[in-house]
Amino acid sequence: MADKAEKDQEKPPEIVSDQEKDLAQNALAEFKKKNYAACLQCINKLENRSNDLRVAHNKAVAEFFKSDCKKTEQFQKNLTAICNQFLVRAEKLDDVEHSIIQFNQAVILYHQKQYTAAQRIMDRVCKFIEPMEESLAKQVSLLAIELQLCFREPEKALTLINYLENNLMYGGSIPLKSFDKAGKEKKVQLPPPKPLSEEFEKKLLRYKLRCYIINHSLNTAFKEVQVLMKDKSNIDALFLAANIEYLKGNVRESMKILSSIPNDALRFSDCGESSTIMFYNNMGVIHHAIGKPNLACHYFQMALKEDINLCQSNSKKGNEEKPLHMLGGSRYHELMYNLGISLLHAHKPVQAFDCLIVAVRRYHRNSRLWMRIAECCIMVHKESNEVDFEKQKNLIVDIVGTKDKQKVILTTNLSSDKKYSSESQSYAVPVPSLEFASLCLRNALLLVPPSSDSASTPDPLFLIPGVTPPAPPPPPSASPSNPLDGREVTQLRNAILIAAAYVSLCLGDYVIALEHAQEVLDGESASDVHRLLAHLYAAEALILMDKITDAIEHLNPENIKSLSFDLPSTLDKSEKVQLRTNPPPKWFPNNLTSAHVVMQYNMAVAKTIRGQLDQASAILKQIWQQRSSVCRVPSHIVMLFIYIELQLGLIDFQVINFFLLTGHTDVAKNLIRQYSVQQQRLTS
Amino acid sequence: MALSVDQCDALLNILDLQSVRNFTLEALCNDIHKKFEARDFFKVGTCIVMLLQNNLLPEPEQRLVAFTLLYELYRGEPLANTPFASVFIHLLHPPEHQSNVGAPKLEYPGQLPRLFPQEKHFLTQLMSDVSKDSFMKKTAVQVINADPPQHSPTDFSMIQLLLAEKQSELPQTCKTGIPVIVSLPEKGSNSYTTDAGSDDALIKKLATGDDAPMNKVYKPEFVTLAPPLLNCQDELVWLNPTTPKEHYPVYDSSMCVPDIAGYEARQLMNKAYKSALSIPQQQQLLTELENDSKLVYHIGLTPSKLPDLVENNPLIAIEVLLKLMQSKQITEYFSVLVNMEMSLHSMEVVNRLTTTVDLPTEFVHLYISNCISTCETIKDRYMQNRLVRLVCVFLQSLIRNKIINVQELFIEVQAFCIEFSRIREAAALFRLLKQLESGELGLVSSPPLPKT
Repeated sequence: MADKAEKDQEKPPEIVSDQEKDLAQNALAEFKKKNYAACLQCINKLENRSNDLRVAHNKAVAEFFKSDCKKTEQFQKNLTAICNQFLVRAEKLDDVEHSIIQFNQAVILYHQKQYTAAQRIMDRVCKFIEPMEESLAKQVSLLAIELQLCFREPEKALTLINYLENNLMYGGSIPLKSFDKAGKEKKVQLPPPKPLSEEFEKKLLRYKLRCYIINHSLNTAFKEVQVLMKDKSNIDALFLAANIEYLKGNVRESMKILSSIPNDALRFSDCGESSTIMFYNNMGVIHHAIGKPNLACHYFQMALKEDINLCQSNSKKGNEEKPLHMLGGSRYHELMYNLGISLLHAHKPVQAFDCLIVAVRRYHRNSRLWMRIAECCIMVHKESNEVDFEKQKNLIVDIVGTKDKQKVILTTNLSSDKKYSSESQSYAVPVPSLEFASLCLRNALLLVPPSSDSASTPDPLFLIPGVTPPAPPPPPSASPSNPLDGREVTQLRNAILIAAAYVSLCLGDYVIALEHAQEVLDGESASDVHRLLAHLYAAEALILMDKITDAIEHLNPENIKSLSFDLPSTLDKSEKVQLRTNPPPKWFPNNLTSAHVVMQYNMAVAKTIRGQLDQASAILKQIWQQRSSVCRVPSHIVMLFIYIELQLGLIDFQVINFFLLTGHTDVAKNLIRQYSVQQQRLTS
Repeated sequence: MALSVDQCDALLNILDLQSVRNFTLEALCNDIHKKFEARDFFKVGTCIVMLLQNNLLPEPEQRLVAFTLLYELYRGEPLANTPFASVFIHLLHPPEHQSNVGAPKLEYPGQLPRLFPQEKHFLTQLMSDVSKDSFMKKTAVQVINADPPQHSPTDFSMIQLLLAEKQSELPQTCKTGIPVIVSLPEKGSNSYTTDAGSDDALIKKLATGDDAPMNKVYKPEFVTLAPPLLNCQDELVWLNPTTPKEHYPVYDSSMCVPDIAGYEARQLMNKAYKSALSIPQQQQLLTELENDSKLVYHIGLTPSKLPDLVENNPLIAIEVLLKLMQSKQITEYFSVLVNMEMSLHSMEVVNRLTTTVDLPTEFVHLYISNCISTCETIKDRYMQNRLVRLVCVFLQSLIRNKIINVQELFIEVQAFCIEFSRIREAAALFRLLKQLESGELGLVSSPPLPKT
């Protein structure tokens, strides 16, 4: 109510005495000369204008600059106090004059990495960009662009850049589309464009390049970066060019460019960012891409050390003492994210888990990150599938008694995938367990970004005047990574479903496992590996649900005809340059025959369970014959042999006795040979 | 989930050859009830079955006691419901073998001992409904040595049927387990040289502890492959310079700079909200706006003040809105305009706007709907007629200028015409609609205006 009353009453005509005018002039001049103390003196003399928002505001600004931009907190408090005093509210901002103070608040929030809060303010401030004088309009636009880049929204950022260019070159007064409806097409007379300063143009180009890189518009980016590269000392350009080469898969070229950047090109204390950290980090990224995760980890650790060093040495003196531009300089979370992913690829899941748990606190809307954490848990649970294919397995747990009372105690399970625990411990404890993985995967599935074609809902056209609706939470994104395209989203979704199916199966939740596996198989497209796993998991779940006939259909080797990690290629319409940044995929089994053997083995299990022992044993024999250095067979096969023979009552205990007790070096082989002999004897 | 060592000892004491020979079956049964609580009965039963399976109760007397005890554990309940019912059935009717490969089945995992006729008879008696007093008062030795009685076949097929039914309800996977304890006599060992002490140790190993082998089974095991790591593009964060120093607070350079032109314009605007300006005043304001393209943002106009301006000075409102077309705030102004009370002036403003610039279609449609509903709800008959005439003329103008695509509003507008058909303009509009429908004017067939 109070502000309503104030608004209706017209502002007092600006009575500014000449003396005040002079003081203000002086203050401005001193501010420009960076004599902040002198500036403050002038402003302080304007004290009888205590009702003037601008005086109060400028006083706060000058005080802040006088502190070498270090007393950020105080500045922020002052601005808030002024806003309260003059009833300036971001959600009801409808006066140009209030936009500067709001903008300054957004600047602080940006440096504090509170991007969403900053964006909320900037949404309003940007509405007044036309009336702003040019230099302010530039500042506002640049912050708005930077914020969009922070959100990895290159399209929005590019729109802003275009707008800024037009606005600056054509003064922004010309309606973009204006014609007389009566039919006479009123040709818009564009005034000759006002050339921008070269320096500013370069600045804009840098922003554009960052957009293209996020967009993966590599051709455009490559062309544009050449313009900047003419100046060999342009550090930004070098980093951007290296980034582009890396994305194109030219890692050598990328490394060459990176190495050409002088060591201390950007110092943290001067720039609020350190080229050393960037260098180490980017080298790590490159090494990760060429399948050297251990080396990558090393680089990331170097970068982290540098980051902690720089940021902690400054934070020792307390937050107040850090100049504004250094507040948000730490790349700790991004580096932890990178390190975590590389550690995971280097088969160090426990350490990876610890890193990613730190990263997820900041990037908790990143589906892929949750998925990665689940992968850490899975890898802790089962290091590699090769354990199921090792030659030697302890079939016998213990031998007790002697003589004719001798008893052999067989193992209950060879692999330890299954973990039906009845412990009442909460799943939500962040430890690398399967239970925690199942929670992570649930998050991941909820956060999978919508596929790229379904555009985000446009802002409502008609708003209640003067009231901004509460900003929606930021949409799920791949931040801190660049956004995913449609195919990657499909891959991610499949990977999450497959992992969720595996985890559910291991935890004994086979109904859910079947649902997830079936979703992959029913989906529009999935890679061969994912389809193989979906069939295997579905079969296992179905058998546990006593639907053996359905299960056997899934285990038909004909279902899988190759073993590729990629989605089946569609006719790619986009002429986009293919990204080549993924590390070479590693997985066991690594060939089609091995994969088929696993299907066949599980088929034998299914038949055994159904009681078709002779068929099962025939399959086992067939698998055994296929084994070679290329095609390894699961070690479970021996145990299943023993099981079938025991069930058939055919076992020659003396023979087993001999092999099991003496043949600890090569139990399996000898035993099987013995079986083959026995089989032959029986069939002949 | 297995017996403790003490419990195992207690059980073995009861089954000990000495005690079996000296005590009556009844006494032994009482002993069991004394030494074990009901919750441990299942464990005791499991242990007894394990002993039977592994031939660890060599003497027939011991076996006899074992059967009795096993029966005794769940005596009150119908036999088919007790957990060990199938053991009794198996003992009486050992599965005879339909071997797949022709050879007779010699052994099978978890095989139970074959019984002598006396044992079988005893078991039958135990399981049937006859009074048990006759043998419970005897010792096991006495029972065995008693004359083999005349063969009295007892029919357990009901129980067998019940058990089979129960079994068939279980999934296949539950029925595939085999005990992990496999007898494997050492080669060349002499039989019957074992002493009881070592047997006890063996039994304790099998039957006690947290993961006692007697509780474990092996089931055919799947190979469950863990999924590969997700392989994807551009995942790791590449760091590029962002120049945070670019973004710094700014100083308001307009402090104490009086805005003369703006001030005068604002004064005029303030008047304009309250009453119509004189022609010279209008001229002055418009010229000033024309001269300084940014002035329009400084004249103090806000969306909430727009309705007053429209009502009092529609001409100024039109010019100002045209100047604000580029502004990001224009949607808010539109939204106010569309929601304000309908009047001749607001219609005039909208009409002028539609002929000069492209307005968002939603906006025009919303405005028309608003007009129609205002006409319908207004109470004053005279005002209503006036408004309806206005709306009709307005709509005709929009249609003739191809600003709206009639088809999208056809039903609404038609209903409006019919409702007010008493008014001449409405009838005219209706005729226009009909002509359009029949294609006479050739407007309908033309595509909706491209939104350039």
